Amino acid sequence: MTGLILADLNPELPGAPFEVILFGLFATLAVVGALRVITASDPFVSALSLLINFVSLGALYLMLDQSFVAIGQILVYAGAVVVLFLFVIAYLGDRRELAEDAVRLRALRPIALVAAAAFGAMLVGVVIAADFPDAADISKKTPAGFSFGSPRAIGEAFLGHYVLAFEVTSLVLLVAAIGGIVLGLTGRARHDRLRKLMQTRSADQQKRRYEQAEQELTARRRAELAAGTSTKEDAST
Amino acid sequence: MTVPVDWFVGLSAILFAIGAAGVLVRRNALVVLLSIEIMLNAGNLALIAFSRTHASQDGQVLAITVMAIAASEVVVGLGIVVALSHLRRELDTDELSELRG
Repeated sequence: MTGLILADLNPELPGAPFEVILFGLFATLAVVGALRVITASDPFVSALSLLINFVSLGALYLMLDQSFVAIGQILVYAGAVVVLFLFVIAYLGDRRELAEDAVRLRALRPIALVAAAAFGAMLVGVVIAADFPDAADISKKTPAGFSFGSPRAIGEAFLGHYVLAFEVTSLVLLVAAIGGIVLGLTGRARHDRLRKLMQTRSADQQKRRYEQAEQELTARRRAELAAGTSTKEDAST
Repeated sequence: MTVPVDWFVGLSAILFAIGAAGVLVRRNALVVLLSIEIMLNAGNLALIAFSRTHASQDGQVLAITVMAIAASEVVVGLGIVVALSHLRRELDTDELSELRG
């Protein structure tokens, strides 16, 4: 009940406008962050803008009285996903997008933009046209620790009605972890094999060049010896 | 809740469209993955808003499940990107077309 808490903190402040201002602030931050993600040329800036987007969405979840999901949003997305992205971007180094002239499908990009804009306009139009019900009242007294959006209520839902979804999700996470390891190992293995191949090839080349040089040297020495037996003056020089 | 649910769902629609534009327009594989994250979060916002409207936990359960799936997707997607970067230098989605037909 963000509104009630704020009203408690500021008794003179009317609850409604302040919550609207908060929504405007975080919605603007979310949209600006998302736009920056898709317009920044540096992937690093994109990832950090996504962090802004995630955090402001977490604040919006808090406005919707869902503290547990808001904490999960900050922990999982801002804490884990963005950090993973930043690690990979730092690992792969600076790879900005190529110059615009190099874009092979450049003619299709305005069409893609128009398609995405039309899709968004359609979604917003549907939202405007639809008649959503007013928010249910959740301010009535509930048993301690059982309020809407509390960890306890979500835990009951997960281990009760949605226990199958819970188990399947854990299986999906396990498969994803194994898949990540396998992908990392195959990429690494190929990398190592290529490097070893290059090393052995260069070693072979070095050996061959060495043997070739050795043969040339022995042939020259033999020729010199042969020349030395015939004419002693040449051998002494 | 003084802010009507329409606003949250409208914001979710706008964010989803931005993410879709990013997936369609950008060519860096990493940025495409980031845009997919925006779309997943837009869907989550709608789920959460409707969950609050109906005062039921179902939407929250779905949103948390979506978070888990998104984490799995990031692990596998970034694994593919790193493996690709070992095989070849560029991460251009226009060039990465081995799986096409």
